[in-house]
Formats: sequence, structure tokens, C-alpha cells
Amino acid sequence: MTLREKVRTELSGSAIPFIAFGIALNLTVGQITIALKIPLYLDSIGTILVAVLVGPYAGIITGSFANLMAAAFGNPTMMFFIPVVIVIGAFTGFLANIGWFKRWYLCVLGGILQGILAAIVSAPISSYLFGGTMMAGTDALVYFFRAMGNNILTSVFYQGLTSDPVDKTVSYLIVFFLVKNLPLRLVSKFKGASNVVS
Amino acid sequence: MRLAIPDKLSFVLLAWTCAFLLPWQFNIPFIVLLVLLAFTFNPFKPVTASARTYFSRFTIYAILLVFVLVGVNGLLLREGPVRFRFIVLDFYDAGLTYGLTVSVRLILLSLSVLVFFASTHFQDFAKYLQSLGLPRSFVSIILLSMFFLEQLPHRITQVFTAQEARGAPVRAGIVARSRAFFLILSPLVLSSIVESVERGVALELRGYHLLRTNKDIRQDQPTSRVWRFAFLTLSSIIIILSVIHWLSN
Repeated sequence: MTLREKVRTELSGSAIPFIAFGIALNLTVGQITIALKIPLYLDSIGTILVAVLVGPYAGIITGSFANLMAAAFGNPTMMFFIPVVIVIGAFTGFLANIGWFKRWYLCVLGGILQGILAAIVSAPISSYLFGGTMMAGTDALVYFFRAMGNNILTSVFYQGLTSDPVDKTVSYLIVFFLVKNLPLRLVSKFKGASNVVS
Repeated sequence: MRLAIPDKLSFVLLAWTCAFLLPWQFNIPFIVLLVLLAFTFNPFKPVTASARTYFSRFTIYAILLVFVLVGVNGLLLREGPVRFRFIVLDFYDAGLTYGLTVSVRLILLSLSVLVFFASTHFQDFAKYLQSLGLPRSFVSIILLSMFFLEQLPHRITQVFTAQEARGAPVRAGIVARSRAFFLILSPLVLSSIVESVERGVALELRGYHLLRTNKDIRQDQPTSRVWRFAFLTLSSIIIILSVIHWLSN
């Protein structure tokens, strides 16, 4: 099966509205975390949910379009992180395909690995384009590592290693429990149903 | 005067070329020009009221960014002579220059993207992408996500209020609040998945997967290509000059 055919199979009629929902969820979940004062971004929940229930290509599309739309709706810097969300969508889809979303402890391990991978991909972008300053709470960590004598790239990478695995593990667990609580008849409508149901 | 989407995109490309290849001293006038264009030149003016608010938000962000980047790097990047001293803090020359370079580049990159999207309806952009050969499903995803984007904040507020009324610990400690997050997200996702499945079935029943032609969209705007050509030529000249400068050094 060619790449084009694989993408086409994942983007069937029933998956399209779900991907659209995933994009909107990525962009609006911040509303809940702010209202509840939770100190995490959790802005890839939509991407992870779609990658698990539909597939990696759908996850990549969800993440990329979410960042593109965030740029269109007043946050242009999000566009530069499209490579990071591509990795998140692809890696989550891969883990789901090999059955890591059937057990909670595998989700924890997957979340940690995903966090490390996200830190590796985002570090060059954050350091080169942003000089390590994202205007977020995590900047304090970057400055801390820089004050210890590390260069910007290393400091941003260490900051990513400190905060990303936590954020991604929590996101993975939320998606795991969300999917577990969904009625089976709904889950079975998606191509990735076998990724979550034993 | 009217600029088509490809013209605007070539302008963004020009801005990005300048941001990456020209020194910050050259890019500051470009940023000022972009801001002026966004307020005075019709093709770059924001098309909606919310797009206008993006500019004010971005201005605050940009000002803060310059101060933080220049200040922090001036303190932490201790190379070259001390440019100035504030109470007991020494600000180094190399750090200040680095902070300025990064912040001006980032502002130019982001501002050009912001001006493009603020002055273009996202639906028009989606149609343009389809006219370039992007699959129809991608455009459907974009248009449907616009629908969900309008619906979700309202739905989140509804679920939040309902769960709070049922006694969900939305104002308790961090652990309880995290549990409340799940209590809000669960019904939200469930209802949205039900809606997604229903919409998906409706799409399939209407033979969505059978219609794959883009021909009806290929009705490009009848504009001249002068602007596109000018912006692309200018970008090419900057790239060539930069390569020559790099080789001669």
C-alpha cells in the first residue's frame, strides 16, 4: 500500500469530523486548564486521541492543522512547532498500533518516551528561533540551566527533558482513561478500535 | 487595490527571507512597514474584528519579548565588553546584540504570518489550498474544525457549570482539580465523538468518498502576477546577495 493510499484509507468520511474535533480540542483545551488552574499545557490531547483511534497519519494531520489554525487565530509562533506535532502524531500512532494503549503502564512509558522525543525535536526550534524564551513559565528553567553555564540549545533541551515527559505522560494517561470509558459501540466505529480494545 | 493569496504568500516569503538573511538593523524598518501596511493598506488590513484584537495582543507580546530576550541574554551571555550597568547587574554587549537579533527575527517571522492570516479569511485560504491540489478531505477538515471551534468553548462552559453544580471539585486542591479536569473532558469528548460519528455517517451516505475532483475549485482569481513576481524577485536577490557575502567572507 502506498503512502497516498494509507492516508486516503485513514481519512475516510467518518474520520474527518473526528479529526476536526481533535484540532478544535487541541486549541480549546487550554480553556479548561486555565479555568482549573492546572500547571500543564495538555495541548496535544486532540492529536493523541486521534492518533490512537484513527491512526498516525490522522494524528499528524490533526497536530499540523491545529498549529496552522492557532497561527491563523492570533498565535503565529505556533506555526514553527509543526515538526514537533508531526513527531507526536506519528509516534503516538505507532505506539497505538503496537498495542501500547491497552495497558496504563505502557502508556506511562510511552508518554515519557514521547516527552523525550518532543524535547529533542523542539529544542533546536526553541533555541534558534526563540533564543530559549517562549514567554512561558518554563522559561525560568531555561534561565536556570543557562546560569549554570550551559549554552542555549543544551539549556532548552534540559528544560524540555524536565517538563515535556510530565506533560506528555499526563496527556497519554488522560487519553487512555478517556478511551477506556467510551462505550465499545462508539470505539468500534473507528479504524483504531483494535489499538485500545484487547 | 487587491492582492490575491499567492501574492500575499510571496510577501510572507520575502519577509521570511529578510528575517533569516538580513541583519536586525535592516529588519526593524521592515517590521514598521508591516505594521503600517496592516493599518493603512487595504489588502493587509484585518478582515474581522477579532483579527484586529490579535494585533494588539501581538504588540504586547512583541514588546515583552524584546525586553525579556535582550535583558536576559545581556545578563547571561557574558561575552565582549559591558555595555551598561543597572544597579548591580552588568549587561554584556554580545548578549544584548544576540537578544536583539533573535527578537527582531522572531517578530518579523511571526508578524508576517499574522498579517497574512488576519487579512485572509481562513475559508478562502482552505479553498486556495484545494485549488493547488490539496485533497478535498483536508479542506473539509479545516471547515469542520472551524465549526467545532465555534461550538467547543460554549460546550466547555456548559459542561464546566453542570459539573460544578453536581459538586465536582473545580476549586479544591491540585489533585482534586486534576480529577475535575477528567470530569469535564469526558462528557465533552463523548458528546463530540457521537456528533463526529453522526456527521461521518452523513458524509459517507452522501457519497463523500466517491467525489474526489478538485476541478470545480480551479477558478483562480483574475489578478495580475506583478506583485508576486516583484516579491519573489526581491527574495531571490536577497538570497543571492547573502550567498555572495557569505562566500566572500
